[in-house]
Amino acid sequence: MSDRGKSSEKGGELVFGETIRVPTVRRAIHLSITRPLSFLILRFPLRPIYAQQYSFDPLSQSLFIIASRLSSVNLAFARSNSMPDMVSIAQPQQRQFNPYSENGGTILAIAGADFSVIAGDTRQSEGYSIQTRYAPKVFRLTDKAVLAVNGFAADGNMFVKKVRQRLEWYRHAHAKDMPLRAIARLIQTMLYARRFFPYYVYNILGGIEDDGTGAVYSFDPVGSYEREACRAAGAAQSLVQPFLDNQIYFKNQTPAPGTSHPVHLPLSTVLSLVIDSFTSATERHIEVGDGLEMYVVLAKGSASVQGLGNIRGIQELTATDDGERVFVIRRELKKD
Amino acid sequence: MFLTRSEYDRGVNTFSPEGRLFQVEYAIEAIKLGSTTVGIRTPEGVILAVEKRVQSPLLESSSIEKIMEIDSHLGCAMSGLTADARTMIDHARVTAQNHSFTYDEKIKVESVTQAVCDLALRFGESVHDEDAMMSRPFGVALLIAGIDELGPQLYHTDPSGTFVRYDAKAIGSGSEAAQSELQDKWHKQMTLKEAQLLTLRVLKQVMEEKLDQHNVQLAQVTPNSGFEILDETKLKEVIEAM
Amino acid sequence: MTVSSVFSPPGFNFSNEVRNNFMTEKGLPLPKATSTGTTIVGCLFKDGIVLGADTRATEGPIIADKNCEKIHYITESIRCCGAGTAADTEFTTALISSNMELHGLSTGRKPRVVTAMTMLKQMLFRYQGHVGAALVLGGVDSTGPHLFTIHPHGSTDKLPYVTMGSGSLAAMAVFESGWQPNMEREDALKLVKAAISAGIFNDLGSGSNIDACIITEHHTEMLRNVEMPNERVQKERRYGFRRGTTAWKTENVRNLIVKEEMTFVGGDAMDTT
Repeated sequence: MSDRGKSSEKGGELVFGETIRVPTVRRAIHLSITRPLSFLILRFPLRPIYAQQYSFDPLSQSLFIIASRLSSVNLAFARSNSMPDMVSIAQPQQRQFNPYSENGGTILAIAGADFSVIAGDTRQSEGYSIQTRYAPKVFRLTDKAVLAVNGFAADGNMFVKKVRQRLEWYRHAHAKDMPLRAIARLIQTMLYARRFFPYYVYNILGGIEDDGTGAVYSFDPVGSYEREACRAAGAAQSLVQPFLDNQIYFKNQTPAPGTSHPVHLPLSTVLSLVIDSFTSATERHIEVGDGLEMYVVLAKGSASVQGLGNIRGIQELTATDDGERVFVIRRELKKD
Repeated sequence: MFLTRSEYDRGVNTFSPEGRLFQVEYAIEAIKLGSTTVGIRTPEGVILAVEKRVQSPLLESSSIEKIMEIDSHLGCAMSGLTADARTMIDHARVTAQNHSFTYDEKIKVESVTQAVCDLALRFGESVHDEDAMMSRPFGVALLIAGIDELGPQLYHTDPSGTFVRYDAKAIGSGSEAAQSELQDKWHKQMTLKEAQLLTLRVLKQVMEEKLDQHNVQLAQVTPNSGFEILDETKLKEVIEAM
Repeated sequence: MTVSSVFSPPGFNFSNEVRNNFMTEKGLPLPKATSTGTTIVGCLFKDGIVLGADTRATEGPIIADKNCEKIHYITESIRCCGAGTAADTEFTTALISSNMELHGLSTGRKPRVVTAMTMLKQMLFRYQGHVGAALVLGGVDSTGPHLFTIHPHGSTDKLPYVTMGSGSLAAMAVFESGWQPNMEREDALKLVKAAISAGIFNDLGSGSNIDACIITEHHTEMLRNVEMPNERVQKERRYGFRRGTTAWKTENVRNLIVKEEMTFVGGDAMDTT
């Protein structure tokens, strides 16, 4: 106690405000640690103190988990040296539990005039390790809605489970399948309900609207959403989105004199662009690869169905006879 | 102890040996004391009309409110203990708002009717620490009119929590006469205008006073304008056309 | 000859250290160095050493080079695989290679593997781990075949089979199950390929092709891209752009040919006879 300066060299160092930055497109979420309970040491220098506190501060959008205790190792050291003056060696130690991880992979969706394509790779990784080469990130919700989920896989799987549960409840309560825009809004309310302990996932919803048009909705982890013509998310978003902007929205491309760019692309072109997006992302991003799953949702009576017949390994997943049809196309990607 | 038949009409959650809940049946009876209310569904929309009993010349007739809006595409007319209807309509409004907040779409007419009826049987004793919300059944019947993806619809709810869809329905004191008149006059391809006139004619037949723009209220739900209560000038036009 | 007005000491320059620390503190981090995520291995066999490496270079999760070379030349019969910061492995091995050449010249003998190992570890220790090179050094000299690993802080190991880099665990698993003393040349090469493959397919930091190098007493065989299990996939579409696709605001055409006029000033023309 007499020489706190000396004693502080012995204990573990305090880490203030260590920040885990969650990468987001539209928002950033911070999980940080507040001031440790250092005053406790001054008052009770000899006794090990176990203080644990969970606090919650919506204003700074932070979840604080503070656990501080005195090191029994240091106390033992003090005793064995029998140096009664060198007592306040004990330092508070911070314990931290980070419930999130990032499992790589990429998803993307493109809307056509009367169809929608939703795709994702199937690699799931953590750090430099592959957890599995086949973990689906794209899920058929109904015959007109497909959801792609990317980010923290555990959260993603649970989120899809909960969305499906809500869709079933809705069917029971209202005697119809939930329309696409209603699913989009539902996802927003479900995400925002966890504003201060978010599902660490980026969602892309694709499908057919009630008016028969192809649609893509993209979300951030806390529920901000928007209807778009195309969107990429996940590890290789920064590689794929600029490519899509150029090829779908024709950004930085002047049309030939007297012509204009098409508003909607045909299904065959869209599928080619999706495949090329993923083979390219696999070439340059370590977390993308192994397998590719492309879901195709066709509107009632869509003429695009003709082009699907001769596609290798296509599988139909349509469950009802409402008119919309869902297909999945599986491809291999490089495995290194 | 001697059990008369009337012993069973005390508790709201005791069946009689014949399997009846008297309090609920009495509540349905209470509606028959209410003012007459008529609803008609047509392919062009739904009409609701009520009789307002102006008991005193000093009564401001515009303060009698028997048709209320639930949402922009939903309206409701009542008969019976109209104060009870406030609770139900509040619930219906909250349900409709919650639905559009969560799903970005208008709630279906049947769904909002179901929600109102879910409320109807929440009377009786409380279960352990839950609050008892109501001590008796509602003493009011509703005609819920609205338009959704299934087209114009008219629903009738009663204190038992039962709801049924109608093409045309009358409730309240003059309902028997009114209902047979509706059965006579209603037809499939009725226009909105025809329905307006029919509701007023039906009301006129069962009302003691002479019908004018002060003692009736008329409302409609149409695909273009949604729910609207007709103001006095518009009402006067319909009455004059009658 | 011009002389710099600023004193420039030989070796590393630390003059921006304080400035860079300040900028990092203010939220401007240093640019990320290319790292060779890497699987590198080496093993002993009957007649010498086989070294192996993958060919992926990464910058964070991005693949910077799909076919880089990680087996560096030290001398004709000593080679060194590098993992860690790409620049450090390249520069360090090149420097030691130069010094080995000079050492050979001044002693008049073929320099030994231990010499390279000692030079490398002394240099890495001097820089206290800041030179981020993790190396597998192998070669054959007058005392026989030798195989070392050298860690960034300067510690070394001498072992019959070694692995390093992010894929070292995957590769070591193969060595532990398959390595035997006195293996034949072909078996040793096969084992090294299997070890590198384990890294390429199971470690995200490693990928693309396999390089190998077989060093024996009288011959060194560098097998660049000895196996290419990850050939580029054919694209579905061709991404060519019509001439005139890029918009411009102003057009300005300049003649690049410079005209030069020569004027003879005074005197006779030089006598060129």
